[in-house]
Amino acid sequence: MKVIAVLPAYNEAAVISDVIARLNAFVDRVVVVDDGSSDSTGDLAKRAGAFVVRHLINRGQGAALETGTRLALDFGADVIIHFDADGQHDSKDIAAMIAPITERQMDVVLGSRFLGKAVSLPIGRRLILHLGILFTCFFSGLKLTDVHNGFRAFSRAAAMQISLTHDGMAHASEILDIIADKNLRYVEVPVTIHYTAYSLGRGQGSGNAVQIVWRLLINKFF
Amino acid sequence: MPIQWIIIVFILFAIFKAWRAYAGGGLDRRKLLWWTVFWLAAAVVILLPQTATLLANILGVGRGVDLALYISVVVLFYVLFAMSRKVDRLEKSLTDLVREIALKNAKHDHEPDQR
Repeated sequence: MKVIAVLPAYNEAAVISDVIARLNAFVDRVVVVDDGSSDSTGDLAKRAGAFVVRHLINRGQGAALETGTRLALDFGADVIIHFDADGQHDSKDIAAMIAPITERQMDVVLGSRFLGKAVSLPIGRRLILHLGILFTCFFSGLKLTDVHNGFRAFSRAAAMQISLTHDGMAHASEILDIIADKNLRYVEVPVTIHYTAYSLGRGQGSGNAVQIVWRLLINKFF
Repeated sequence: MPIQWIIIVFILFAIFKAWRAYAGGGLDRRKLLWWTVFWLAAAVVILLPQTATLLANILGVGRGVDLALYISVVVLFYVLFAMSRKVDRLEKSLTDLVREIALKNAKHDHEPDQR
């Protein structure tokens, strides 16, 4: 069983080495997609033992995940994990994320911070996430406890069916749409999210949420 | 009216720009012709508003200015739509290209897997 973690990374030099070091024990391989970083993210990731693939220019998290997932499939991954490079996810949760795929033939496993522990989640962000959950339920019909959590696991078969076309942040909603469309077997698993000053600064702000909704609506027209 | 002359000056500027682009190779002859005709027609309507009013009356619109505004808004929205499709296609091509290069380079680095 070959488990490969895919980390989209854009200017994460401050934390990338630590994140990879903590991941190495739990997966067979770490693939970092350096999404056109202007700092030393790529070099540091390579030194930390990751396989690095580099976008020449920044194309967004969705685009980076798609590139990394394809590479992981090329490497013969049986399970592919999407994992954030900013250190907000806990590598100790990986075993629990993989288990439903290996033991219960699930296609997709979604990390949920509301089933788990969201360490120091600000109230504003909590509100926005709940709006996102309602929005998702309305558009894709999936009843989830969390959306836009970057921690996911896919079986090889599922990863081959999912091709992301939203280059930016809307890919998270796109994945859910595909799960609904293709009737993939999915389950949510509690995960711990560490909200540090760093990850909050890097992550999606509230303005970003508006932007994602706007993009999704626009995409219904164009 | 002063507004007429302000717009006329702008139109002359636009035509000048179009010819410059043509001379520089940035605009082909068909597009140059198109833009020149378009701006000249706009100049005629601005200098002789009654020409537009004539057409407006045929179409059941009271004033030529109103007709020009209606048509402009509709055309602009359509152009916006066409442009956004074009930008999306460009973005997609760009991502495909960046990904292709990234994966090709990765294949070079990829030593036989030990595990």
